[in-house]
Amino acid sequence: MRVSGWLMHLVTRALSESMDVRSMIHLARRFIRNYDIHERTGFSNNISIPNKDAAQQIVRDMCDSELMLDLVAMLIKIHEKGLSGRQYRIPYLNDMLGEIRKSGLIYDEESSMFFEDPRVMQTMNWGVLREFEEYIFAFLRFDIVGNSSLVRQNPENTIQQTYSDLRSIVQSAIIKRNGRIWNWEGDGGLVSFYFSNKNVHAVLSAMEILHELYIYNQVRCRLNKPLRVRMAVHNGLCQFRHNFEDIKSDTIKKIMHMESKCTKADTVSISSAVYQMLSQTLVYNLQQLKLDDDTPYYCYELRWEA
Amino acid sequence: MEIVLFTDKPSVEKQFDLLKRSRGFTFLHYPRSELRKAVKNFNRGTFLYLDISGLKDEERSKMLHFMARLKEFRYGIIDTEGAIQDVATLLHDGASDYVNKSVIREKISIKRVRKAVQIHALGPVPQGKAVKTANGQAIIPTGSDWSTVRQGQEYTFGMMYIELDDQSTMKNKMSDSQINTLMSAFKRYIERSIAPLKGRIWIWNDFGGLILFPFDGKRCDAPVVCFRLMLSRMIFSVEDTGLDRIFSYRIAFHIGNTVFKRKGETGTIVSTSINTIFHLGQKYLHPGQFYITEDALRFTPEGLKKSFLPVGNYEGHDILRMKLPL
Repeated sequence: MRVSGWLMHLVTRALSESMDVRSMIHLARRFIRNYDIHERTGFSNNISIPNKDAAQQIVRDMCDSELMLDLVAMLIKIHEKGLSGRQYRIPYLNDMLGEIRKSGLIYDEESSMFFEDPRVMQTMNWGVLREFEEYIFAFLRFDIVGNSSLVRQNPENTIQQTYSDLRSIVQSAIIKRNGRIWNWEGDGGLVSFYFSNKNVHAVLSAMEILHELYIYNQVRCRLNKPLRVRMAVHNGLCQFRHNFEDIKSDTIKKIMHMESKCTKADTVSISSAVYQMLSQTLVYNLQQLKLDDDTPYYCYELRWEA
Repeated sequence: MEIVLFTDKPSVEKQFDLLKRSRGFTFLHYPRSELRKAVKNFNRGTFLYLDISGLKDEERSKMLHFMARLKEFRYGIIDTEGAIQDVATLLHDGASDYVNKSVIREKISIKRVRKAVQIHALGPVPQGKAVKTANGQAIIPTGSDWSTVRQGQEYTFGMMYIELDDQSTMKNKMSDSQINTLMSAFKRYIERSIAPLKGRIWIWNDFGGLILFPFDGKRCDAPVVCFRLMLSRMIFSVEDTGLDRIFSYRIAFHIGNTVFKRKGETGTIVSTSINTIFHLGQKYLHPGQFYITEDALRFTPEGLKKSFLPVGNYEGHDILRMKLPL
């Protein structure tokens, strides 16, 4: 993100008007270990640095290290919860948020992070996740059942149209819940969720896809048999890489295993880790099953009265 | 009501200023040469004014003959040159108004047009267009959207009744502000769900209301929306209400006729279809169910029909209910 001069000005004023140099250094060291304000400003160690100069230097350094959004997010947190047991009133927060919003980013209270406004843009890293860093994601994996036989038994344009319809269904369910398609193969893919209630969003997206697919099969499907999918939802640590092929993650390995080995057609498997994060209302319709290593998991499916 | 003027003279058009400004009328103006082509696009009951000044005898009599054959419209003739000798015959042939030179000097008043509209009844719906519902009501299609729907005109709509269940428990266990929040969320959810098929909330009460969908007379996809809503009760409860409980609602769907009036002006409407959908929703429909009349199911996408089971006959309509997910 390109940091505007006005945002730098606002953050500088917010820092210099709300805390002393000592607190500013304490704050800066949360981002840059052993941050030395005297060395950075050129003031000798026995001279006290004016608030404004310290704030200006810190803001410049944060900007150069691409830590500006993290600094603003930290200021919001300090405003709400204080820093090291002391309360601070940070001014200009609304102005800062407004300035950042102009760059297409909005603030997520749950994760205390900025991310891209999905109405403005939708990138794989929500505009803010960093390459090589590890984050906890919720994943939704889906796979078309019997892809090879569908391809053999139906004309190519029918297959292409159907798969494109499936992509629209998936896209529509996940975008409104701020999910991102990380990988889309011919017959399946992986969607990731990071912000807000990521586990709930992943599960609701899977449920909606299942419902929409049921309706699609009744009303629009042109294949010689219904289009069926298997889906799994799991969460865990994963390193973020812009190139999906470069991602090596046990969490992704596990969700792929869950989907391919433990999930029936037209159902969603939900891992125990995700299940723990769901509300009572949501778990009401889930059925408990066991994975092949005996760990429990949960299943959602559309079952109909006779 | 829609008023259309066919004239080539701006001075004549200017005399209709009162109608242009009136909220009760939609005023359109066309060159006279477009008469034959333009009438094909107007709704039944539109009032046409034709200016015949400057026409030769033969041309004038052809145009008057054409107007006399328009049984789906009411019309008036503007004759600033006094070319018509026998005004009574003109009225016998179906004209509802005659505007001569002395009348056109004054602006055409709203009162005059309102009276003119009442002089002649419209002819029957032409046989070629008279598709009927199972119960014998003539279908008056709106087209695929709302662009041709006019205030005060009768049309056939897809009618969806939806209402939250368990209202007494809600009233007992939830605060007024919680109920208000829930109902706002419910209404927003409904609006979002019906928007792709151009549905509009028409009447809204405390816990639900009536939604109208345009109907083109051939196919009605609106029951798919109802079907989707029934599947998504849990998603709505979790995602939209912020309250940790599952909310249930009931839906009834019917296709029938009503005069269209703007939201909030529906109090005086007399329509058997509106009665049917309200009675069905409030007296016959069970909580958590989706019922559809046979009239509506006929126009529903074929694949969805097998998801419904017959439950009986209500007020002369065969009723089916959606098979529910367990």
